[in-house]
Amino acid sequence: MTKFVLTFFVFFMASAASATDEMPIIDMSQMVSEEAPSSGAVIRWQGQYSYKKFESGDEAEASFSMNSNGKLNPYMNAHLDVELSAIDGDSSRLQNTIHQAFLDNSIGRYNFNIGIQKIDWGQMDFQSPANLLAPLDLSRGISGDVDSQVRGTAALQFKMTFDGFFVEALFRPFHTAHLFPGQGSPWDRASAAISQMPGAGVQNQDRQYGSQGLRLGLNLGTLGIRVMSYSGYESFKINDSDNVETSPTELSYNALAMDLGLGPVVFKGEFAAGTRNVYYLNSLFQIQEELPKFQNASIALDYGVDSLNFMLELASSKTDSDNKSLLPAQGDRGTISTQSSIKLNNDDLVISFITQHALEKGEQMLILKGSNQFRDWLSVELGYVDFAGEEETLLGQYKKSSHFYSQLQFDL
Amino acid sequence: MMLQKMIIPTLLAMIISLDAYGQSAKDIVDQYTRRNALGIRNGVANLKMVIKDKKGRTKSRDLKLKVFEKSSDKASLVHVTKPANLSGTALLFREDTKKDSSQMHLYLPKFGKVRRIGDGQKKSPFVSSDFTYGDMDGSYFNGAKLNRLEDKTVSGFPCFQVEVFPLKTYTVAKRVVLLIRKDSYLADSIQYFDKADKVYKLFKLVKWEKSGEQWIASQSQMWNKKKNSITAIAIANIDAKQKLNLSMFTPERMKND
Repeated sequence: MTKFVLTFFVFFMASAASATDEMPIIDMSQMVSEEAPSSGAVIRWQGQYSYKKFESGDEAEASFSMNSNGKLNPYMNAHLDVELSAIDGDSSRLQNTIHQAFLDNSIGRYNFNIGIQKIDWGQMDFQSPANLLAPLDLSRGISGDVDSQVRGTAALQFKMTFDGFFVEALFRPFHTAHLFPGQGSPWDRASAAISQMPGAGVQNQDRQYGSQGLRLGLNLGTLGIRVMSYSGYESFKINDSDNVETSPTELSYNALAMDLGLGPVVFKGEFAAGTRNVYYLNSLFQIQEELPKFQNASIALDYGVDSLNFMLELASSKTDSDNKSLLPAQGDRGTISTQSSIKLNNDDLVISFITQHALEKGEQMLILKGSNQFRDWLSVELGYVDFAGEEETLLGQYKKSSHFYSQLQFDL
Repeated sequence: MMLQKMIIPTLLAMIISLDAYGQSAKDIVDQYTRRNALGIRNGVANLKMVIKDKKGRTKSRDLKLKVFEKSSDKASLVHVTKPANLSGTALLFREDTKKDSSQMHLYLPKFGKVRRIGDGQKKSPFVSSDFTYGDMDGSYFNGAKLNRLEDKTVSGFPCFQVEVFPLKTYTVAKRVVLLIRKDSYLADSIQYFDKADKVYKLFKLVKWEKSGEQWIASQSQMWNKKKNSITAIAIANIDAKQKLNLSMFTPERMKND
């Protein structure tokens, strides 16, 4: 009897152990289709609702976007990224934006893109000297995402890639302006100055303001080096129905960028030197412009281990002008920026803390945010953005725009 | 005659012993890592991934995988095609087996730029699944101490058994034990042990087939026992004849599918 009980007990324990150690098998026979998942088009319909609470009032924004990638043939893809948004706040408006609309052709080592596309020749997270050529969309101010403000621009890009080496040529038939908020927005400080600039008004897209750039790159194991040269134009436009824009001014520079992976640390650096138009007030309080030389540099380290990531970036921008720029972003400035984040629950929950301190005048920005991907189609983000510093500084001018925000994002 | 009697059994014993132990742990791992975790050495494959959490909820991902190997250079490029919120995300793994070094780049369409990822991130989940980046590119073998354990037969398949003590840069596992099938060099199972020497994660080959000259893991699963979640990967189709070259596996080409 004892033997029987013991045998039963051992058998029971063994079955229990094997049940817990046996991996359940997922039946994928119904899920796997022979059709290539990458063929045809992938269309993402997305809705977003965000609410911001400023000192001066509230702002709500609802947007609807479509992002589609279609494979037209084995060599050609079409990309379309458009958005319709409605903003209700101090300056209510309805806005439609074509972020990107381009054809992407790849044959062997050659790649050719034509259409409205976002150009990103830099790699830094906050200030990218190598990517000054990219127009920015600052029309919605500064919120949780600080590194996704590049604006689409009409361009033709040709790239030839070898293993460890690439050449890339860029041609833009006409310039695309940096976009600033319309007056009445909590972020409209620069907009008032833009409308007063010499030659400000409605600008036509003119072939004389075309631009071109060339980039060479080397990938040597964990070291990447990029050398580039750009010659073109830039302007500043207010995002309202009047379409006031400064007249395009010269921007040309040469730049060097590198990144190096050393174990868990990635080092990055960019340096650019060239000439860029600067607006300033003369002794008679009239706005004038000049074309001084500038030198911008950024270095950063990115350290990641397990679910933690830390990034430190030091940036400096200097011009050879003795005059103080009317637009703080073009003036002399030194900053220390950090981004710390922790990813939990298989990366579904991300908590981030972002800081930027300028070396003078108490200028700073702090962002604390958390986002959770509840389902593949539903995510929520909550955060607080704080600005401080003297009124004439880049970040200090927005100190009344410190705000709490919440954002709901869903795929349809 | 006496000498012959002594030599022949000795030689036979040596031959048997060479058959069993002729391959060192490094030789076996070198053969195993010539292909990626799914057994693909060269080609383009469409994959389906299903992630099932402890509550039984599932998420699915469609992936396009390109794999290429040329002498000591190994490269894999993964594009996520579904779901929509991850679509366009690309991951590039490059490895130089001579230098025992690997590198990884990530492209997120939202930010529009390619980022180099440090080795510390190899422990992070791959597209929110139970696989880590390190599991996918096998970088936990870099600089690891290897031991060959006694061979085993699993479900009628003779397997090599290799014990790996990885560097902590690449994985949280203190010890990894692989059972590698002798006929195909596919991993039949991989056990990941934690600091307490308990299996916290288990990889299992579920279905396999021969595609052209290469054996592939047509379905495999990773079971995270701590989280009680499972990720299954199945190869929907594979084209081993597509002409690939290393220039397609560079950070600059990640945006272009």
